[in-house]
Amino acid sequence: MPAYDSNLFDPPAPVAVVTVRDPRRGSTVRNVPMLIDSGSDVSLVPRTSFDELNLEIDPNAGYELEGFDGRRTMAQVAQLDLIFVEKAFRGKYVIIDSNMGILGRDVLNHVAVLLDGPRLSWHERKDSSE
Amino acid sequence: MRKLATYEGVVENGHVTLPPEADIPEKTRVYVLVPDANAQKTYKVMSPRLAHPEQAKDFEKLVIEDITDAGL
Repeated sequence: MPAYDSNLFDPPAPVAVVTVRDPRRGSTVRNVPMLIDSGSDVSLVPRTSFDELNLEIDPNAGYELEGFDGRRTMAQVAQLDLIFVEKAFRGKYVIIDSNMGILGRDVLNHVAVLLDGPRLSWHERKDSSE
Repeated sequence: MRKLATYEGVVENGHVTLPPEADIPEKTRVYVLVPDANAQKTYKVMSPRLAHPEQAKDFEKLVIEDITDAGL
């Protein structure tokens, strides 16, 4: 069941477990934890997943990211499919040196997700017009 | 009285990796002690934003229905 993580986050935070797929070869890495973070402009995938899939990282394509404290860092990107709530989101993803990724608005804005804080769970709303 | 053996390992990709000399039979029940567990509890997240918002179009996604993810 999609849930909040209360071990790594205090207060607990919603975390999705996704699959990452190489769009060219179809090989996958499953069970990649991603923080559901609507404050993030883009999604970030753990470097270990890129390494496991042996994905090509463009050394010349860097993007400057800014944290809430104004600090800026350059980040590398790669193309992949991120599979989440029965959809594959194909495109460019930022690489993060962490075991936990971040699911940002580049993905979240395509789906309707209900965050049920009191129950420490979340789920997709299939019909967002309800 | 039970015999006790201790080994130092590391967590990699969610799995505990033990040193080669730790020859532990399959299905053995083990206990994991985590030093400085409180220090590792809080995950640091920066809610990153693009320093150059006009680059957001580079991160637009093609959405494909994919039922292989039905359990997630």
